[in-house]
Amino acid sequence: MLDRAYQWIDDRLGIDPIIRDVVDHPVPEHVNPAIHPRSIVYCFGGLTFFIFTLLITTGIFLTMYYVPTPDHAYDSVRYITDELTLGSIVRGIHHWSASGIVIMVVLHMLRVYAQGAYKAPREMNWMVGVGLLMVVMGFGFTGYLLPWDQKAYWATTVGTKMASQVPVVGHYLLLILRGGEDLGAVTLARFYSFHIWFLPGAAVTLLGLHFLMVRRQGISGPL
Amino acid sequence: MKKDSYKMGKTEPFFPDFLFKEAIAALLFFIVLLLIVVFSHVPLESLADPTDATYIPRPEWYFMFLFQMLKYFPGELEPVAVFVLPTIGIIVLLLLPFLDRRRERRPSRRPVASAAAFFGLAGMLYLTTMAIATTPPPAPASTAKLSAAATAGKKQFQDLGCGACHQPGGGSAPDLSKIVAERDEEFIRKYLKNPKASNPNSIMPSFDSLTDEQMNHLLEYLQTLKQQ
Repeated sequence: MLDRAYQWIDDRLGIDPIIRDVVDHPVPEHVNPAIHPRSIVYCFGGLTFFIFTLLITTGIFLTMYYVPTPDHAYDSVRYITDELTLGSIVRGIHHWSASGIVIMVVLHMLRVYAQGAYKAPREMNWMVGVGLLMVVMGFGFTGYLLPWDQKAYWATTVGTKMASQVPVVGHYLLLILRGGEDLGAVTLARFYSFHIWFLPGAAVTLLGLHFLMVRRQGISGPL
Repeated sequence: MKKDSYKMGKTEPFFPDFLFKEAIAALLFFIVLLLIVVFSHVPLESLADPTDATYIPRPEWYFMFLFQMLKYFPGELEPVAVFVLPTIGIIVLLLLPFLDRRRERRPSRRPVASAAAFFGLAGMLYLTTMAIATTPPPAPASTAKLSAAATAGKKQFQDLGCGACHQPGGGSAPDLSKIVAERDEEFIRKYLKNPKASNPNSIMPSFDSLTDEQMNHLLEYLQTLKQQ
């Protein structure tokens, strides 16, 4: 039944070569932790992607209840945390995964660094990876403000103020980050927008390139 | 296209064989994550208070090293910590494959790269530890999660601008933490409705226009100031 459905679609779209490439490509022995336990270090990248899917999924559910205005942000987060069915679990996964993805990204980078896997011909993929690191940091920075509690407000006050230290354009950067001289409703709206639109867009684009390149070049060889 | 050639050894197809193993790793990770979620509370402090300048901010742990660097570059040197060093770090990281062009990949044969990574990591770890050790935890009174009523009251307090005069330690009006310790709720309620009835010299405006519910919320919040 499934075979026939697949055949039907393939007859019309000719997707089989693409699917075969994604699904069937051989995975070499040296990255397989079932053969060499130390190969577990090759799992860090995949785990990073897994946490990314957790963050996207829980994040989408959180947007159903979260309200990005100073009047309601805190109450909506409190409602999610204290009253909403499974709310504390969904927010909990989102919160702890945010730390988890930073740890995994660092471990993944360390593996690539230690093995010199960033070297030719994989220079471009390394640079995309550094871009992804920046995106993850951006997620952390913008997400920290959203609960609009004391910690959120004051850490972001300090964080955005740091931008004003940049020579020449510092004050403009501060205005861009805060949407005005002070931290307020505009700041919250803009951090939210970055957190749920700009950064996920950037992340998905860069991840697409990251995966495309690793498929084209194959994983780096054993040391 | 350049491709490196190496012995593939005992290969297996990505799907389903290898992906299954990755799924096991992901599942183990997920179980640990769920245990953390279930056995710990997601932090939520009290509502943001833009007038509470006594709050000592703490960034997320992975920004702690940057936060700590600020302390070593005070005053005019601050741009070094917040702009110069991080920018250099990011550029070096981004251009790493072009700065290090040798083909050698084994860490033991790349002493410079290995040492750089070691000292870089050790430095970040040191800065993070120092930051955690030297940043006092914020005062419980300004962080403790308040009840829903007290949070609504805190919002009233902010919207009405009470804190402009009633500053901690006393500004142009008494320190409220002392007032709530000395006076009972009924006195404060009456005073808020008509200050001049209790004290003819009071310059405080009347808050008679608050609904009973709003008044109760405000009083609930004022009670939380007592512990300070």
